[in-house]
Amino acid sequence: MQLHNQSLPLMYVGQGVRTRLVGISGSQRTAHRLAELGFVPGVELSVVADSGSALMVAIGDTRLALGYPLAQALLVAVLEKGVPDD
Amino acid sequence: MMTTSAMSFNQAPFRYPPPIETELNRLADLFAQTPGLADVYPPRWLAIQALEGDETLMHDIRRLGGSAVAAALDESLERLRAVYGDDLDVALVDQRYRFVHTIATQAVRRPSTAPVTLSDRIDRVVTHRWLGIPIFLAVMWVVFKLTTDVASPFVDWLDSVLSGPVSRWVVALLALFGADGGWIESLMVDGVVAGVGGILAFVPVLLTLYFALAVLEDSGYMARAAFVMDRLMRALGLHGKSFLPMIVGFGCSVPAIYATRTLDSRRDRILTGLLVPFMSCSARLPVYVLIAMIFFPAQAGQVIFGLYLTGIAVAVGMGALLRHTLFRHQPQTPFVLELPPYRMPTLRSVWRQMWERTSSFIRKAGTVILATSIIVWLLLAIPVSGEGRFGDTPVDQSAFAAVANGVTPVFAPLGFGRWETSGALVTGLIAKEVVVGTLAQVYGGAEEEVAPLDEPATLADDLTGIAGGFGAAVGDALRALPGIVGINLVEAEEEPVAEGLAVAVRSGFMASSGGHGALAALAFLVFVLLYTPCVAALAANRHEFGAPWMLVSLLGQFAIAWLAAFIVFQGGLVLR
Repeated sequence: MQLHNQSLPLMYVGQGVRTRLVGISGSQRTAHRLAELGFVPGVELSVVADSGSALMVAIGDTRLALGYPLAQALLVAVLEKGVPDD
Repeated sequence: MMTTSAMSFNQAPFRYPPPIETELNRLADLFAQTPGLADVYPPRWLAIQALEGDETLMHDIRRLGGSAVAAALDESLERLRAVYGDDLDVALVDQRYRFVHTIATQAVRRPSTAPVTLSDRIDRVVTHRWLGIPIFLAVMWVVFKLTTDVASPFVDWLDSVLSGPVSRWVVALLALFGADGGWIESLMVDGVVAGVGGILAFVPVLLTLYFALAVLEDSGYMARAAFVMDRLMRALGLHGKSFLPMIVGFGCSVPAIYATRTLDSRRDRILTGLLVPFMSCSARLPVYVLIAMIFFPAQAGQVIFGLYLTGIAVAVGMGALLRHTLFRHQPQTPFVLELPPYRMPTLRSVWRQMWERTSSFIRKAGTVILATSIIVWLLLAIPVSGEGRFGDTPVDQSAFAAVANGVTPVFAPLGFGRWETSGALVTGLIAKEVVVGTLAQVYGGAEEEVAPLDEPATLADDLTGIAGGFGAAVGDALRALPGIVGINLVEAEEEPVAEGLAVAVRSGFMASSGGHGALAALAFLVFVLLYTPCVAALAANRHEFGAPWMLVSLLGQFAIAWLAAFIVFQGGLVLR
């Protein structure tokens, strides 16, 4: 995947930025769990909100709340800068 | 549009990539020929689960399939690992999502860049990092006002119908069989009707509470609340999902304990179930109101609000304690929660939830409350000393007083070691609001009297009275609605506590505490807040988590309640 050069955990991309999932770090259990939820490499993700302990992630038409440890495991590449929220 | 009959899942041409498919077929054939496995599981499904690394099923395969099958499984995994490394399970899932995606792109046309939906725009405000919690607190305040202000006219109406017309009808009916005036009348009116009344008094409150919860859930807001509150719930060693049971706990611990079923791990369910009873349930409120009006008439509101906060603080403390002791070796499960798009709740679904939850509460708690009301009536009816007859004995000479006297020494260090209060606490195990009834019965006596029977009332009068009362209740409830948003149309008129009862309760607490009645009353309130909510909650606890955890909950809460009341009373004495 050509976007692989600049991957970072989803936690650090900020709200409203369009990203693509490039990989999952962490234990195999975590990886499997996330994959089951639809977090498979190549899928487009963005962060809708941040509660201070969890992220609300948009994945397709689904909105999922993920605790920080899980959001940390999602490695993404930034597709384009979204409009900053505030 | 496809019709349902055309959607046959078996015909879906879904295959995994060649290396996986080869191994799947090999394993599926092998499983199909192994009776121990083929009888229990569909072979292909089992093969997929095994390659994905499902630990339980892998164990089953090795146990039921024997060594040959186990060896074949290991070989297959070995060959696939050479291709996919550790990502075999992800590769399998990925393949399924690709398949779904292919079909979806053929069937659904959508803009190249996803538009920002209304739901997302609402979420930017509602789940905002700083606005989220204030918005949530405002929503909860509206729910709280709804359950108290709007439901209370109906509670009063039910109460007046039961103690007036219904009691009269029961007496009249008994008179037909010549059974009026004796202990049977007392059993029916003071035992059964009063017991049923105790249950029904919950109904308007629960219906309103469940109405509010159903609207919040169906609209999609409840999931956002769990998301927003996740950060605070971490203080309890739990995460956002445990939040809904906690909120339900302010209404009633019984449905709250059942609501823990939505949580993912047993650890979270039990921990939440242990903390839920510290959320001050609506049945405790009448006790707070009675005692606070008697001892702290000017600051009743602050005292009651303080009790709610104390319950939350104790839950936070206990959460931290349990997390580092009993649950030390069980790590927290990751927080994952799907947030559905915002929707307009439908009346039908809201009504169905209100009705199902309320009626299941009535079924579960109702029988217990009724049975215990009759037992208390019996204990009150049996004379153990003095000249009383069965069904006509002074309260302080009854079996009830004898039983209550037995447990009284336990409460002496807390400032309320008298049989009247300890008896009320024992009956409080049935349901918290029974404490009020018992206190009135043992202290006031006259307070509980049924409306005078010589009142000339025809059936028609009674029926118009009931209907009129209901109309008035609807009016009061509607007038209370604007109060929720801060416009107060009705004067806040607290019903004054009957003077005789107030004097009796005050002197009782004074006597038991060596002259520090108010302090003892405060300790009593703290005890009521923290000890086991009721037998129905214990039954729910046992049903969900088993008898050992029920005992942990029962004894733990008693110990905490005793300690807290001890600290309030003895600490207060020192500071004085």
